[in-house]
Amino acid sequence: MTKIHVDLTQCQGYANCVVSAPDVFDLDDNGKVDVLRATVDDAHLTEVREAVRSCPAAALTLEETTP
Amino acid sequence: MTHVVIVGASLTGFRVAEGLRAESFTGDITLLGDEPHLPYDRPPLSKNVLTEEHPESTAFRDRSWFAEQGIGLRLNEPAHALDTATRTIRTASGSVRYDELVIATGAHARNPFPDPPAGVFTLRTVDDANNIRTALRTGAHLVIVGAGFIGLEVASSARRLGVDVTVVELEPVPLARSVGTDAARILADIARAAGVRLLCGRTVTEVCGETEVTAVQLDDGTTLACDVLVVGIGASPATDWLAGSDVTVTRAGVICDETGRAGDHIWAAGDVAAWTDDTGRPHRHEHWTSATEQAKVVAHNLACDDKRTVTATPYVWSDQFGRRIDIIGDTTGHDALCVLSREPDTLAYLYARDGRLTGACLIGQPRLMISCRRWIGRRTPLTDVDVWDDCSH
Repeated sequence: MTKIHVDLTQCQGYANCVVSAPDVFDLDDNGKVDVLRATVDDAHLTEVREAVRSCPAAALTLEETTP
Repeated sequence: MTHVVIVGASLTGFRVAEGLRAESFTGDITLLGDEPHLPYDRPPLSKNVLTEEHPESTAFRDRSWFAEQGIGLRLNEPAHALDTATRTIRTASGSVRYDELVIATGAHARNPFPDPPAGVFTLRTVDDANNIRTALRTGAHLVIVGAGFIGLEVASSARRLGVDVTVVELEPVPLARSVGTDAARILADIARAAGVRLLCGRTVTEVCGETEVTAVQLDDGTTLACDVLVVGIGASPATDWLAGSDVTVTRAGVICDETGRAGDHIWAAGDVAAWTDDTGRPHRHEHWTSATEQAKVVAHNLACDDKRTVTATPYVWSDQFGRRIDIIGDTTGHDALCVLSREPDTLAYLYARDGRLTGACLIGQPRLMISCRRWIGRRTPLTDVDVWDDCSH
């Protein structure tokens, strides 16, 4: 299982994560990241990893735990 | 085992190395850098690295991460020459043989003033930023040459520090080529409202001062007294070390096809690289997002049999005067313009060509920014851009 952690103090609302993984990330009205699902299923894992790497503010991290 | 050597250990080089491991590449990776520092991020250099007394390191990863990933890091080792026949890079302290080479040497800040007195800076490296921070004391008089993104971000940081700021810009309206003339006028007004003195249509002809800078002379005869001078007039691709090799280098940079390939077993990405775009012309992008996209594509193309191209819509941002400017796609060469807002806090200019949305310049519009990145990426017809009819054309 993979969990997404967000550091909202780091998030600058660049929305690169939303572009990379639109089913998983959105921006709220304040322009901060909104995680639509806190755990990532296998179907979204590749794009979520890409989303994490694409963040200019390094606001996203993944916690991967073995089931 | 394949040995990939990446020359240049900034954002692009780091991202290629990281991307290769993400693509399950199991060969050897060597990352050569000319600076003594661990690979670090540059956007903060014109912002909090200037304004904070003790800014945090902007290094992407610590040294142990590179060891864990099996990425050989050779810092403080600039490349001097390339021999493609023997696939050898000569460096300051020896040589390295490669199976695949990635050129990621970035660009050097242009400075037209040779042997300047103390107090004259360009901003490219963390050492530059630290030197500028030390020089920018409250009450100092700063002149900035060039009102591009770097110049205006430094102006913004300096105003925050209580520094007196004058910006000298060659063009009649700064950033006009980046965001369009009309939107650029509003950005210039934002800078002026923050107390920046903006002198447009002017150039600096002489830097005055024996040991330390005391003033600059402008082309109209004006003299501006200053203690600090920052030159932000762009950067040239760092290709000196490729002279005499058979890599194709023009003023545009290292010429690459649309997959990042620059020759046999040679790839290039980031600020040094001129990638062929969908119009068939080589074009050098000098932006964080395009560097990461190109790095990702090169890593994939090195590790995998299928060859990819960059598909992401260009996205550039600039943080200045308490606002973030988002620039999406291409804001030049439009045949239709749509203005949703001229307000500095909610600025929204959309650009179209041949009936399709091609670019946008926005401030404080998170939802519209995401929509524009999608619309422009999909070359959406204006009839499907729901906000287009809401604006003044």
